[in-house]
Amino acid sequence: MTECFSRFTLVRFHKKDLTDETHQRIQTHLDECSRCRDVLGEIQTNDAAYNRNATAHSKRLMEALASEIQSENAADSNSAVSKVVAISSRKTKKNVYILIPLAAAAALTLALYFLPYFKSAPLDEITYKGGFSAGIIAKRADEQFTVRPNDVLRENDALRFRIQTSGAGYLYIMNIAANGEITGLCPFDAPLNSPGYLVDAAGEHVLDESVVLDNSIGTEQIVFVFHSQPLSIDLIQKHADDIIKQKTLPLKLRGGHIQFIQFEKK
Amino acid sequence: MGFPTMKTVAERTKTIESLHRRYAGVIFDLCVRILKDSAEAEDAVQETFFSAFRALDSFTYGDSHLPWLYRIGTNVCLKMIRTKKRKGAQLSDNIEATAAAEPENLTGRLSIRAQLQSLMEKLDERNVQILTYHYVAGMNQQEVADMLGISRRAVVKRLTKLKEIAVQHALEDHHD
Repeated sequence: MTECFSRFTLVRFHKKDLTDETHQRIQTHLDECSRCRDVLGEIQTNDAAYNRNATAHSKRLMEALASEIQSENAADSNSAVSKVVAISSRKTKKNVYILIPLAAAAALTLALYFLPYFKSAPLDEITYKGGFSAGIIAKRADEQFTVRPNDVLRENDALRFRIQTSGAGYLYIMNIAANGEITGLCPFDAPLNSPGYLVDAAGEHVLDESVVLDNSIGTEQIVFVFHSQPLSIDLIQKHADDIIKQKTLPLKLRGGHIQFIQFEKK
Repeated sequence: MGFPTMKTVAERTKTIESLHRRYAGVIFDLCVRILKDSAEAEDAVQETFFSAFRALDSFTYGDSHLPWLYRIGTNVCLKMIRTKKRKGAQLSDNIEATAAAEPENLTGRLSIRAQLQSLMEKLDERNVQILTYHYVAGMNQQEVADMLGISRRAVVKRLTKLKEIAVQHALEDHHD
């Protein structure tokens, strides 16, 4: 009989993590070694025991990741963010109002950074509180410009979305057409249970994908939802009516930010 | 500017989900051997893949993720034990069981558990890792060497030294 294999090797055998040759060699050994068979049986038992609740474990892992992202969000908010203007749902978060010299300096820097994009916007249209702001870049023929609230846009204008966050989280973007129809724009072509775009770090991000406007006319809105938790698109859409009416996040979605940008289509 | 950060994270999330689906059960096997508690082992598995998500960019273990996950899992469990100050009690349980099954028993007829409980507190991090990989995770000397990026000879030397220390401790306690 050949020499026994280590437990770790048997783990790799069990997970088919070895070359065919080694796998075959171990298989041959197992046929004649009860000790190694016992060890392998124990490994298989523990593997199976854990995987009996595989779905729950996987879900818990994803929640833990989201929770960590949320913590990083909070840490970033405490260090570098202050209120500029807001229609955010996080009105009860007191920590963002703590003014320390560092936070003030960081906020001033960020405010100055965004001034070129939003300087003409009404205060109630732009959110930058506790770490999130959004904007739209439009491209018309060779011209490119930042969409201001109530700007006039036309058929075939291509829109791209820009966000700035002070931490990580999940992003959803919806379009509300003049007839009230809601269309999910981000994540693009994702299944309904998708957790949305995961933004893993603070900073400015511009989506690669663009949206081309059709020939409908009227007042439309783009809604940005940024949340620390991996909400599904399905859940966002279920709450879409409340989000639109209240212009704030419903109770179940607290812990995130929302921003509307309205424009006219002619 | 594109959306590189988002795509990178989405890919990383997908990778971790895939690794979790494939390897979580055997990482649980490792953790339950170190921690001797199913509930704590489940927590350790979560923490392992959580840490792996953050460290995915530093993955440098060739084609297989398993040794890398084993290393993370071992460190997570050792950290949990250190945090709860139960290092000696839990590890030595497992080391005793493994060592007893080996032809070359670590300390012969002496009480391994009693000696290691005190011994573990006095070892440095690297030696604790070596003991855990060899006696708890069940790696052979070459696998321990690969895991730590050192030569097999160095592992043999360390294990020999550790056995001497264990025996010495046992004898000292025996005389006391």
